[in-house]
Amino acid sequence: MPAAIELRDVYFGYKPGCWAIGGLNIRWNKGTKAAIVGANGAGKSTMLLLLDGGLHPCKGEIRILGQELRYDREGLRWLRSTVGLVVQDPDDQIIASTVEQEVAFGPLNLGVPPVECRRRVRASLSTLDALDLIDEPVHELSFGQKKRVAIASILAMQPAVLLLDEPTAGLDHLSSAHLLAALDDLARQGTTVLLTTHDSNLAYEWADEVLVLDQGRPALAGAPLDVFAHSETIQSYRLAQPAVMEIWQRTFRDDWCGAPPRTRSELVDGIKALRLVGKH
Amino acid sequence: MDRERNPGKFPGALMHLDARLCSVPFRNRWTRAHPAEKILFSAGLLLLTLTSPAGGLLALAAGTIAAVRGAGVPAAAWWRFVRAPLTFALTGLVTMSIRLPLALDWNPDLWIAILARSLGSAAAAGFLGLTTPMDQVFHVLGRLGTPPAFTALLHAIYRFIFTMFDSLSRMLEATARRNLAAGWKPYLNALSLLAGSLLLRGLRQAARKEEALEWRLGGASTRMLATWRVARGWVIASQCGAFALSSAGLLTWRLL
Repeated sequence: MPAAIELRDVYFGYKPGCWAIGGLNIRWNKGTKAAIVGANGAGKSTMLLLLDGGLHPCKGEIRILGQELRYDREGLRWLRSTVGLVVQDPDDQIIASTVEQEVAFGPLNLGVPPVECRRRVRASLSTLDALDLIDEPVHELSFGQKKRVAIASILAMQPAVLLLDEPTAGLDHLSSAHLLAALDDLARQGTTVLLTTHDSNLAYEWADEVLVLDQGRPALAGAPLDVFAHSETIQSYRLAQPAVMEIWQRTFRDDWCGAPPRTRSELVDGIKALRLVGKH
Repeated sequence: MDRERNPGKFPGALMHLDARLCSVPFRNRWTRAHPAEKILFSAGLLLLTLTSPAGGLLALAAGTIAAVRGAGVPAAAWWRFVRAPLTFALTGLVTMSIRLPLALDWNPDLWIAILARSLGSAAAAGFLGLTTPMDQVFHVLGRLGTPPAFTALLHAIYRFIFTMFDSLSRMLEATARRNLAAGWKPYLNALSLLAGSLLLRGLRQAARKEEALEWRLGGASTRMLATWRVARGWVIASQCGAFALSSAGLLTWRLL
């Protein structure tokens, strides 16, 4: 079965001789939830643009759903209907003047009939708990509301691969939780979801696969438990070790039974269990 | 636009007044009426204005009643829209009426004609502007044969105006917060620098918007979903009839 996303020895530079992305070899299967983690300027957004066809690699090969990316009109059209990119600043993305039109804009222009567009608009907005915004003019929305609308507008296009650049930046806790739950649902339905973040807590709790970028180079890759296991290594890439992992390693690791906790609730449940047996 | 911010404290707050005016087209009873009905009504008001000064006054009255009573446009918003052309017309009248060496050109018929026609045409524009989001007008332009690339550009510019408006408002507020306490001179200096940075920011935002559109849709079209009701034949027919009869009546009365 072809991988949903495959990069083979990909290099890209904005200036000659200076690689913004260097030597990337990645393979993520369909339905994977992957997080690209790195400090500012690590190359996270550049990698998303390479996957979306917005930038062309200088060397190497990018394959989406087994097809090598082509940058002619037809190839890009296929790519736009297959890969959806949510950019960091919603004002860069939003073009329509009302929420309903903005969310319908993508599918409508990919040839989806208006009746189906309307259904998708309601479904996407409901997913992000933003259905109450459907008739609102976009210029009256707050940053967080615009962000949810921008994400809904890409969800409505139902891409097979969803790329999100810092999706939780500017969202409150509840909105972030709604968004991550929605991304979980999409991944369960077979969508490959890839997000960038410098929040290692988010990457640790949510992702199946984590790629740590350092100055455009792949520094660490693999399951979150392996990637975030070593505090010193993570800190050397200007990142923090996830709080759950850090607390578990410092306090409970020796007495812990089973797999290390991934979420705060798993940590709390584990601590309660340790108390019951009188170990803490 | 952040509705929580407190207008009236800083010069940037001036922008919020106009932002509220921009929201009226999206929040009236006729927002979802078919744009053809509203464009036709507006064209009818213009036709009345062109027949005679009395027609201009009739257009003002009809436009005001339709917008404020019919569509539910707030009277304050209507007045804010109409007062700008009224100010221009009055200023124009003063300069037309006084000549050098100092004397008064007494021509009340001309004054009334200018005022009535100005207000009539302002009512026509105001009715359309305050009841109809611009994207509906762009849709009609598209149906009338305007090239899709041009209507897409209009959509992008329309959205861009709001984005820039928001940026300008935030920049003005931030500048005022930092510099107003230091006095007006540093504040004015900062404003001139701000104008330059707004231009750069505008260019950057325009480029990013274009890129985001390209990443999202590539070479696909840029159609918008029609969010309005279907056009009602009886409304269009009765509007055509009413305006034709009124204009004919006014023209006949004028000729007699």
